[in-house]
Amino acid sequence: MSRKLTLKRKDADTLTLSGLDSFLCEMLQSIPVLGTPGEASAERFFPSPTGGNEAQVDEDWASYVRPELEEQFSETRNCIAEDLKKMRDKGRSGMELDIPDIHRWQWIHGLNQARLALATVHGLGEAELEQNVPLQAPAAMAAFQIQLYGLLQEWLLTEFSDDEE
Amino acid sequence: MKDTPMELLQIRVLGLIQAPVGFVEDSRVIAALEAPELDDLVALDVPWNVVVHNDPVNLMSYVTKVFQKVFGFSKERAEKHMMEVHKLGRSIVWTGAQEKAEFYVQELHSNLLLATLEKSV
Repeated sequence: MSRKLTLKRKDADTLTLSGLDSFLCEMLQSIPVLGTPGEASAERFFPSPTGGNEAQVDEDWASYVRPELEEQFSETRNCIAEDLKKMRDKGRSGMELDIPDIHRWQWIHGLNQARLALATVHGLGEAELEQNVPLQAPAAMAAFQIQLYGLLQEWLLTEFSDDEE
Repeated sequence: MKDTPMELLQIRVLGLIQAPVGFVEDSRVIAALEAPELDDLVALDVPWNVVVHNDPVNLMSYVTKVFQKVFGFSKERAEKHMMEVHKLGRSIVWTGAQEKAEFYVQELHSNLLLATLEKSV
C-alpha cells in the first residue's frame, strides 16, 4: 500500500501534513534532536560576526548575542517538539501532523537547523549535496534527511508565498 | 573661502559636544558629560557593510524569504542579492551605522545565514 505525502490547508490557521508512515514520522521526530547544536556544529550555528577581524566585537557578541541566539534556537526546537506530540493516527492513511500558521517560521527554522547540523557533522558540502551520495556511504542517511527536510522547507515556503499573493 | 571637509567635520563635532552642555544646569551632570575624542566620533561615522556569504545548505528560496523578512526587500531585490551570494560567494545587503549593522547580522544569524560585518572603506 502506498501513501501520498501531502501538505494541505486544513483551515484558516493551520496546515496539515498527511500520509506519514512510521519512517517519515521518525524523520520528523528527529528534527528537534538533530537541530541541537553540538560541538561540531556550534561554529556554524554561532559564527563570528566579523569573520574574526574585530576581536572586541567578537568578544561582545559571544557574551551578549550568542546566549540570545541559543535561546531562540532552543525555543524553535521546543515548539516543533510540542507540535509533534499532537500527531494523529489516521489508520490506513497514516499519521497526520498539524502545523499552525503561527509556528510556520519555527518549522522552517527548525528544518534549517537540522539540515545545517547534519551537513556540518557529516561534512556534506555543495558537491556532495548536488550529487547522489552512494547508499553504502556512511553519510547517505544524512544526505537523505537533508533533502527530505529541504523538500518540507520548500513546501512551507511555497505555502507562505501563496498566502501572501 | 569655503571650509575644508575636515573643518566642516570639526565644526560639526564641536557642535555635538557643546550643544547639550549649554542646556544642562546641574554641575554634576556637566561633569559627567565627558567630551568624546574626535577620533571616536569620526570612527562612529565610518559605515559598516552587512555581508552575506554563500552556504551550500541553505535553500535559495529560504535565503530570498529571509532577505524579504529582515530587510523588507521586494522579492526581486531579495532574489538579486540571493543570486549574488550564490554566484559570487557574497553580497553586501546593507550599509550604514555599526549598531544597526550589528542588529541586522544578529537577525541573519538567528535565521542561520552566514553573515558578517565589515567596515566600508
